[in-house]
Amino acid sequence: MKVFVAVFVFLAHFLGGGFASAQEGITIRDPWVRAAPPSVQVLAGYMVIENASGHGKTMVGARSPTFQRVEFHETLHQNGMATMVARDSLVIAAGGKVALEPGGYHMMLIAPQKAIRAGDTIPLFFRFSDGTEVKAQAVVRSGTDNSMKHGGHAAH
Amino acid sequence: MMKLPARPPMVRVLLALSILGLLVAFGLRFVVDETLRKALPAALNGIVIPDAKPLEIFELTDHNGKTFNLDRLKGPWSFLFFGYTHCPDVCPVAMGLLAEVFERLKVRPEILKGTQGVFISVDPTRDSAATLKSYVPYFNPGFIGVTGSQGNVLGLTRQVGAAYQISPDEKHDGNYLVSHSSAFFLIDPEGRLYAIFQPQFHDGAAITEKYLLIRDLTDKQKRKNP
Repeated sequence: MKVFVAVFVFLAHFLGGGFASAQEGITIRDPWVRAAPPSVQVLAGYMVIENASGHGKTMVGARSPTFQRVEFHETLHQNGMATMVARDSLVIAAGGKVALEPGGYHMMLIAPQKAIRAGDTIPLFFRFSDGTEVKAQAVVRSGTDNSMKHGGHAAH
Repeated sequence: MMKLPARPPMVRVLLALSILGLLVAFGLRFVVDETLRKALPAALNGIVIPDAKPLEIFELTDHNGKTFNLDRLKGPWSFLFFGYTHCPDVCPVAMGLLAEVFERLKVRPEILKGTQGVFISVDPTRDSAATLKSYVPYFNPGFIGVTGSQGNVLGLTRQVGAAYQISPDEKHDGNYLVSHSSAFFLIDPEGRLYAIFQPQFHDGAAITEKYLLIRDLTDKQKRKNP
């Protein structure tokens, strides 16, 4: 059993993509990008950021070799319209987590350098205010997962 | 033989009142029956609008370059969504949801056949017919992308009450944001705004269920009043 666990942990560490990436007390859980029509210039990325450390962490930026630019936005509903507000930083409290989900916070991945298809992995580097950088691999998923911020419904 | 006494005025009045009363009772019953028949099932409250609103002339173009005007909204039922292709989150989610509804409608092929999904761009600067052609059918090959000048787009959004706002291109890099209503607008075969599915109702199973309810109700009414 111990051997199994050891091998599993060993493999999980290297498999990365779509699973959790834990560095500097920060875990990037289930990072994914929604697949879009091939010609699209802006894609959305989602994930859960967990902060297991004893102090608050502030994510101040992100980059990816696959995209020209990565921004953070929040979808809000105001005046009967859906609107996006740019967020310069995301604060994750000590022991807390921040979820980027459809209909809420999301990464805006701008100007892909190549065609993006379901199944691809996108390397992401997240910069924190304390100068650290956390790496994650996001999986590109087909858009049939339409679960919204409030949980969504499984097909029945 | 006794002579029948002449009816006193009181009896005449009472007789008249009873006849009137009977007429009122029948009339009321008719009205109540009609009201109950037309009463909206609770599931459609806040979705079906009280009186279907006839749309007026508008002029837009579909992603194949063909005219998309009021005639295209007559005949089938139409789900309209207003968005733009540079929208990463809300629009793909909504179009994916609409695609899910159409997938679920496959169990009622005759209804699916008479339903169309339309994506109308509120960002004509970036969304040409060609752009829409490579975007809209991705969600469902039968979906139609529609574009037109700002003025022409306003000509439709105003009628259905869809708001939108284009942010200035502050960074001058063509990546400006657009705010927009994210509701689905349901148009009936007579080209009237029939129902609006606001974001809080955005669940594939629920929208499908409510749409089928609407179809069953209206198809039944049509059979009664052809």
